[in-house]
Amino acid sequence: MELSVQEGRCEGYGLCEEVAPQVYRLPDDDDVELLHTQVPQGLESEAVAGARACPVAAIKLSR
Amino acid sequence: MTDAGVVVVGASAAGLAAAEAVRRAGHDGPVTVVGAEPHPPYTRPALSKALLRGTGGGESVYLPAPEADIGLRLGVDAVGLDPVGRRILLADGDSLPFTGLVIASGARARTMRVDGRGETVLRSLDDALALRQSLDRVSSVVILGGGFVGVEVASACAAAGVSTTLLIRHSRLMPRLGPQLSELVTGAALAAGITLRQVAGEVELIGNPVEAVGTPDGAVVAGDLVVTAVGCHPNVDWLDGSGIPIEDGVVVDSRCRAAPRITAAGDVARMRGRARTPFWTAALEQARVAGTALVRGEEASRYTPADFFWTEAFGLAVTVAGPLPAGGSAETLAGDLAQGSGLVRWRGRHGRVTVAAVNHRIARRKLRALAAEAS
Repeated sequence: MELSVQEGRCEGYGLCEEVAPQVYRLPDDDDVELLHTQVPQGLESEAVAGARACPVAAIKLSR
Repeated sequence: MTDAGVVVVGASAAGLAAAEAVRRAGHDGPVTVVGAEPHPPYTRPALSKALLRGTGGGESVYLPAPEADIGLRLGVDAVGLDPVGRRILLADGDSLPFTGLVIASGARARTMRVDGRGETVLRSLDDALALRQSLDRVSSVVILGGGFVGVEVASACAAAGVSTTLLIRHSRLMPRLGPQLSELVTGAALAAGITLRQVAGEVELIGNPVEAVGTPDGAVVAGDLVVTAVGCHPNVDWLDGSGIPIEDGVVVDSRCRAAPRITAAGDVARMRGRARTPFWTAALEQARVAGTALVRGEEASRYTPADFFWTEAFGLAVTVAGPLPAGGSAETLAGDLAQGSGLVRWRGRHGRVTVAAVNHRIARRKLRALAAEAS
């Protein structure tokens, strides 16, 4: 599973990080940072749940 | 006995989060999510904001698809719940058996007319795409309602260069934000050229499609397009006769349980003793509890309401943690609201603390921490 953040979409609510801190990190004053672009097995459902918590659908994933 | 599985009614952010929580809680039988709309699940808060203002297609608001072990059945309404046979009845004549059910059927736009005939509303993706398209054709819009959706729509209208009138009940826009934030939004709307018209009493819609609004003082306010934005109504009609407790939504306990092996979450759900909270994070957090409680019962953690909310209009991005309306003594933590951006904390009665960020990027976690340290 591969993750990407859509340019200019992130608004910094950090809901992805709250749900999946092992996958997403929200720095101060910047867009979300992906801790893995290729999601390791075992973190996949967390990565999906985190991406889906984003209210602006900034995180895309492809399987 | 074979497990008929879990059915989730509502293919929304809440519906999917509930389905995932069911899986994570250890349910290994079938999970099926049923949705009335033909679109894949999408983010609704973005409709009245980025989608309406932007150029992106419907797919820009789609949420990541669920994992393969969660079934999605889209474009079909749930029309009934048979509590004895434990089946969900679908509009296409089919029915789905369940051992566990999550009700996440959401809400629909409230309309002024009983059947909503001729009214334009903004609730679904199709509504938003149609509204955006009509903004290219019209030169004037009248919006009934000065709440969050009405004001966000007005902002998109102004950005599209359309002459916009807001008919409002209170003297300020988004009164629920509390006086100071509400004043800020109202000022920004006026600066953007919006006409505000306060109306006391009942209004009457004229035409089909609606082309004007009659006010109690006898005036007629006409527009090329009239939008009704007067709140939402929980989708509970399909539960008639099911025995599910309903009172402005499906009434649930602190673990989102409505009846044995039936839970509810999102805009359709109302925690006993509280008002409905039709907001994004509340819906997701209820959904996680609802899904877990279905499988684990008392072992599931209780739902802890955590007020969080945001809106964008007229160049103001407002993010709020804590109860609304924000009021009491205000303390500026950063910036200056009068200059258009800042971070403010209010201490109200009974230990109520609300923190708001205006045009100031901050994660929810940090906003909540600023509220907690003052409580």
